[in-house]
Amino acid sequence: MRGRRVTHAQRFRDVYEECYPRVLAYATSLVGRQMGEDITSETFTVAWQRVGSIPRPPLPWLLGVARNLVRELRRRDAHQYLLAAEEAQRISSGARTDVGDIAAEVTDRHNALHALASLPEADRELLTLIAWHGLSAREAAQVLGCTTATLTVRLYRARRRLEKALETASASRTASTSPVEAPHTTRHEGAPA
Amino acid sequence: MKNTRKRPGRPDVMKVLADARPDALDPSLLVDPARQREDLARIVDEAPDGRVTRFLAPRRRSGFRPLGAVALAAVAASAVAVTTLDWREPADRPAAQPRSSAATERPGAGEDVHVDGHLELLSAAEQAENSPDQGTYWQTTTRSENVDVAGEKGHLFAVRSTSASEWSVGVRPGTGSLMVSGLDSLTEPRTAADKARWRAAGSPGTVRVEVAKKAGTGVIGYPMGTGRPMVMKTNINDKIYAVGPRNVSYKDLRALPSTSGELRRYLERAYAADNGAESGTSGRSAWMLRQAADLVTMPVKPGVRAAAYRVMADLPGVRVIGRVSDPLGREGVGVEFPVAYPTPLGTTRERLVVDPSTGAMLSDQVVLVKASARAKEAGLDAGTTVNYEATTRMSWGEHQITVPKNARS
Repeated sequence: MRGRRVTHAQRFRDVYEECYPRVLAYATSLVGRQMGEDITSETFTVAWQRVGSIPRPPLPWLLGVARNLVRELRRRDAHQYLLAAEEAQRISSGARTDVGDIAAEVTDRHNALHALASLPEADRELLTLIAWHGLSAREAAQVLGCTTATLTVRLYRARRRLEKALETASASRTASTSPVEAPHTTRHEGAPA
Repeated sequence: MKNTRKRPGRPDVMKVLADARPDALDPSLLVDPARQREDLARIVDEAPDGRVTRFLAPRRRSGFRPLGAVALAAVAASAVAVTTLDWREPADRPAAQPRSSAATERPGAGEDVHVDGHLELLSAAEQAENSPDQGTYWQTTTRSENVDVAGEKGHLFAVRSTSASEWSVGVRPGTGSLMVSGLDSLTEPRTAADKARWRAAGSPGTVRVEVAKKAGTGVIGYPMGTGRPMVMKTNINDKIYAVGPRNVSYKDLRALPSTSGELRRYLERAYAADNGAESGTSGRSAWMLRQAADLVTMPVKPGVRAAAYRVMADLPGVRVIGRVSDPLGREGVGVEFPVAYPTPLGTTRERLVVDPSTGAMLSDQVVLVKASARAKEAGLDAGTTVNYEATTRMSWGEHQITVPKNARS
């Protein structure tokens, strides 16, 4: 008979409440909504199993776990992964948000998303971790498993490439009068026409 | 200098990108609250740290290895989880508690109890008041045993796992808390007859044991033989224990009220926070008993320990069963939980044994009230203790405990 250990349960609930939406958003950006929910659930299952050693802040670690789980899925079930990744691609290219937006915003958003879609996957991953999922460079480094120094260099280059791509995107946009041309993406899916 | 609408190609490229995030990836728009809640409930229903702990397959087991997904669906952990007692439906809800006169009285003064056992429990309260105070590490050593039934139907046998644990909680700033469990861990057939059946089954190195889950049962693998100890850090910064749903620091512990009325109200508030709309007198009594019994083993002020015993003595439905021996043969007063729980081994009831002469909590055990067919086949009858944790040492120490070299973390 002994006193109760600190409730890891309480700590876990706090982490869960705080981080669930952001882990879900990240997972959704990788594998779409449905699979994203499963990955999120698995991520927190892992977290619960290691509840005594969840780092602070927990988010970068959780995203790293989610990322590994997606990689595992990719290895285990390539077909399912591809379907899920296509869905994620549709979401990330903003396919669902276009209609009804104000024209100028749509244009900006489209330009940005098209520019992003034209970048190598590693760049996109890094840029979105920071711009969309709100991580600092240091935290992103944790997720990607590299040093902050390495990440800073990679980020610098990725930003440069994004700037270039944005210039290209806006130039082609202003040059052509057609605002919703098929994006010059190499990915599975772009915006619908 | 610039209007808020960014044009692409400007230096603030990350901002442009951030603004372009599809709404479908906006965390605040994305979450399905029902799914989020369901996941949480399912996840915390499984034992953390990959181990099964008390209350369902009652208490901690050392060294089991999960067998596939079913195995994951282990158990609640009184040590870590919040809502332990209500995780299963009580098998019986005694309408009357013949031994408990306190059932009909308002708790409060703690004096007007009529059963001898209660008086002895109050004597434990008085003794607790004299226990020594203050040190650096609050240390407890316990021995535990868990009994389970393994094997195939028609060839079932009982196995028992025994081990010792040391828990050393640092209460001064900068000190940590360590728990080393699974010391001298051994899993073996329970009796000679069980050993014969295990041999007949081919002396398997891992036996399959059925355990209760929140819904239904699951199977876990139990490695036979000796196991390695495991070390675990148990504090989260300055939080060293849990009282109900709250993690508390040493300072919080020292600030607990030392009158039974105030302590009872404190625990009632914690109960409300922990269980929300959860109701039922016996469920609440069981929860309060659990918390009060846990408090007694923490480095609280002697007055608080005494108050905790008084709270216990007054809980409706809690049965004080007089003189009993604990699993190590030490005599004390038995205090039984007001609810019985079904397990694969049958209906069980939890019992505490308190030494009224010192105010020490001697043991916490789970006794079979009604054996299941499975349990009977393996020779376990009503009255058998299927799980216990007995405290052999509880005192202040000045040095952190040493971690065995072969301990897993």
